[in-house]
Amino acid sequence: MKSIFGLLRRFWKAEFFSPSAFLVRAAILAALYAVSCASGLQEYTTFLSGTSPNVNMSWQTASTLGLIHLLLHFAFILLVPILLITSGLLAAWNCWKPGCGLPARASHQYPIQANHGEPNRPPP
Amino acid sequence: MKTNLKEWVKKASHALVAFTLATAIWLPCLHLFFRAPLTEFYQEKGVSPKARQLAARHLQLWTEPALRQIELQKMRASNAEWDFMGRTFLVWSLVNMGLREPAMKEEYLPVIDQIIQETVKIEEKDGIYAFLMPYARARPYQVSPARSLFLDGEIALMMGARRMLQEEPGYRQPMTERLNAIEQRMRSNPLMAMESYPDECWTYDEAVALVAFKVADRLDGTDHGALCQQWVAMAKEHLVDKKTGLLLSSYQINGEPLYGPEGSTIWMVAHCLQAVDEPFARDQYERARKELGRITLGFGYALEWPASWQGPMDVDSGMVVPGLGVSAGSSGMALIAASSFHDWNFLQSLVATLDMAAFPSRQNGRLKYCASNQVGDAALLYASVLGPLWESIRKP
Repeated sequence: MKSIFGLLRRFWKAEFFSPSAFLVRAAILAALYAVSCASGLQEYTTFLSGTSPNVNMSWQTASTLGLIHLLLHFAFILLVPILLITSGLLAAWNCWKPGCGLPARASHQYPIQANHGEPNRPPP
Repeated sequence: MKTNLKEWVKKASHALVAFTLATAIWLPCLHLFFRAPLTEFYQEKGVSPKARQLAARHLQLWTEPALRQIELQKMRASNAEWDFMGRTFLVWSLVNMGLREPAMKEEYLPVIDQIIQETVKIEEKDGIYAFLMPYARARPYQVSPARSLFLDGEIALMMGARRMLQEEPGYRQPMTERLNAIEQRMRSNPLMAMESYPDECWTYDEAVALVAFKVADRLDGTDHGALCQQWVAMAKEHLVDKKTGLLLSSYQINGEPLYGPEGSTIWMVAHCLQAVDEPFARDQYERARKELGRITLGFGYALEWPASWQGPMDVDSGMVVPGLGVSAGSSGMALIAASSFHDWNFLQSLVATLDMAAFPSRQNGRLKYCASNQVGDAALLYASVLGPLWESIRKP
């Protein structure tokens, strides 16, 4: 449990442009959309057809609820996947950018050479 | 500090590039998650799964009065016309479904009769204004006694369609009376103009009335062929917008245009004209498709107004998405026309949009679109089953 909270804290405090930060944003949007669906706000999207969603509620209130669900829906189907892909791309970039991912000892002592079919060998 | 800023800008630009790339990857893929095989929505033979689920929801509304009352209250609070059109689209749909699956006729006929009889009863009790928008009372009809072609045409076609599914002698006389009244008015002025609202003539209602004449010809051996062709010739001469070649939506009884080519009207007009004058109907459909139909990133939609005509967002157009001009009303009616003219690619794209943006909700085998309403869902049901009725009218 502690480790889960630790992971969540790490994600929450992630640097603004880091892959984790994009993951957190996607997760927040997905969670908000799930809450909206569970609350049945999709019923209020009937305002799009010009119909009163609920005759016992003011048109403005009902339309606002419908609009909230509409925005969350589009955030879920458009933004969430884009944020996830962004996160993946950034993570890949961070892994494969020059000088990253190599053991510190190897990068200091044995500079990487172009691989022409020969495996890298330490200098004699 | 300078290094921090430099580092921040570097990271921000990386993130921006990744975000742009992610957008470029995702947007073209999005439609794949909503694009189902077309047979889910429309089948040339039999009834598609979606049509069956939509119909189940409507049949439930007509067998559970309390539920229907809630739906009607919601719609009538916005527009009494929708209550009426929800009935007509449902009757035409059930007739098409009955023609597709004759074994189901016995289930549909009582509902069809209930709808027709209740509708006529309301009209008799509360008058034509029961199904018209309040502005109909603002001024008198030009031709008296006041009659609305909107009601006469659609009720006549409901009765005719019912008789096409299975003859019911009780509907013959009231149908003939309505059609005679329409014919008399058509012949009373050179533009064959018939009011739906005071001094407002709608090509939508005229096209529906022409189909009702065709149904009567098929059932009762009358011949309104010349009358229909006369209307088509008059429309080509007087009711076509010069820039787009599309029919106007509405005009005054003296021929003065009111609304130009409106998506929520022209798609249905093209569909109805298919039963009257196929080449003219196809020409109208193709022009509408060019001027109003769009497919972007695999999603189909329709505009309410062509680029050459500035029109308002109103009760017919439904919500119009600012900037894109996407109209809920026009897109819904475009499904009917795309289905009617077998424009499968456009139809499939429109259905993808429907599933993406109209919030389908399924419960116990019943389907409704939350962003729509009863009339919208009835029109969608009609788009998913139309065909057999028009075929039987056109049969030589």
